[in-house]
Amino acid sequence: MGIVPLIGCFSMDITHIIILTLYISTATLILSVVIGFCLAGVLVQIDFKLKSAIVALMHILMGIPSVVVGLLFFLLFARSGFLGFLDVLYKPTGIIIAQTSLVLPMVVSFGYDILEKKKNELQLFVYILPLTKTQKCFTYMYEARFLLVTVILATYGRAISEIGAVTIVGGNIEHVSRVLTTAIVLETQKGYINQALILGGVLMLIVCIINIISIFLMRFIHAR
Amino acid sequence: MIELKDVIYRCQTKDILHNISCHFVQGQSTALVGYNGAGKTSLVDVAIKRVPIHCGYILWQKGLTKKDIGLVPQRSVFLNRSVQKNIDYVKQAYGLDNPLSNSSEKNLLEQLHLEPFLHQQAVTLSEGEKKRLALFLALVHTPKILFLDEPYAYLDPENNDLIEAVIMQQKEKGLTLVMVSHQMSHIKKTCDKICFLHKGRIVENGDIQILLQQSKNPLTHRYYHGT
Repeated sequence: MGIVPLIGCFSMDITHIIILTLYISTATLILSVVIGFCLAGVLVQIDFKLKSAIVALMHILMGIPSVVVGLLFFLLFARSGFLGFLDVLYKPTGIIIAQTSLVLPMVVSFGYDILEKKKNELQLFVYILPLTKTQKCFTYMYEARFLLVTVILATYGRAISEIGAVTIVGGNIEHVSRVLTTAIVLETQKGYINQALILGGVLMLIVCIINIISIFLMRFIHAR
Repeated sequence: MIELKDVIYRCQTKDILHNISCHFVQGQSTALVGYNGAGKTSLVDVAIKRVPIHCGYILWQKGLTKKDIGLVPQRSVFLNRSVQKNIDYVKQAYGLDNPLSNSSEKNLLEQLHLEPFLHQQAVTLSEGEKKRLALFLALVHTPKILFLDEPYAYLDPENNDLIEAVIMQQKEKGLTLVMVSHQMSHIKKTCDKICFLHKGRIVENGDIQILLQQSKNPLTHRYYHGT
């Protein structure tokens, strides 16, 4: 049995699922990278009392289970919840917010480690120059750009393969919040293993492309 | 130009510099000497306010800013870009115009034999080339005071002469120099004053000719004369 007839017998719109998955993971990536690298830059450039505590907290939060994050945001976004007025529960926006919160500690932690290392490396070069802290930070970011790209790719990989928070906050509603991971779970539970396998293959393909790019980038860094 | 008064510099719990008082006078060149671990590099770091001090004060002459300071660090560090791009970056940071537009810059570049390396990655340069580039970058904005931390370390005689010639030229132009070095031959040629540090304290500080002739301290005598 070929792939095309298999796709044809799908009970769901696979194109919509793929597009929604890419949309949610890309939006999550953009948000987490922009916020995460800015936070990492602030942590690197500004010394304050709670700095080491925040860095340690970010490292701890990297390991937080996604279902816990999902549950937390479910409670926040529920009608009676603190952020219920946003009306984002069971919607892509809610998933994006929950996923961003989930991957943000990873971006901040890795971003901070990379930038801190670059700062120490370049301190003697940059210190004497009349640059603002922001200019210095952009220099560190530019000099560490290849390593930061690897963080971006890893974040994308994490976001696209996430399931716990997506299921709880998104609800796996067809044409609204169903993404590849939740669709795979649903098809498996329904006993449609072939469809689940195809969806799994698509997800694997996207993740593989990301990893291949990552490997080439790392090789490029080492070659330099 | 820069005055340090009763400065104590502490790194974690260890005192690196104890009650340091000295001043770097405009137009004069001072050699910071002493055995390894004496605190010479720390004194430079303190003078340029790169590290916070625990006690005392550092007084920069009125109007003196970071823009007026040049630094050749002990370990040359550059951006992972070409030599040309490193030069452009530094010039841009100082708000200087087009790259290498100035004839004196071109002369300096030529004098330091850096022209053939302009398109080479700075991090791939040899130690001697790196020192020459570091010196060029420290001088590109025509500073008022230049700190040189072991400018002759790891260099062959040819590079030594090259760097010494540039330093001498800058001294003749009236640039204030503060040099950390172990090489007394260079110090004797270049410096007017000598400041001997030992275990974070100043042991001797004064005119180089007088100290070289009259120093009776066995510690400094051995350092100056090798006996």
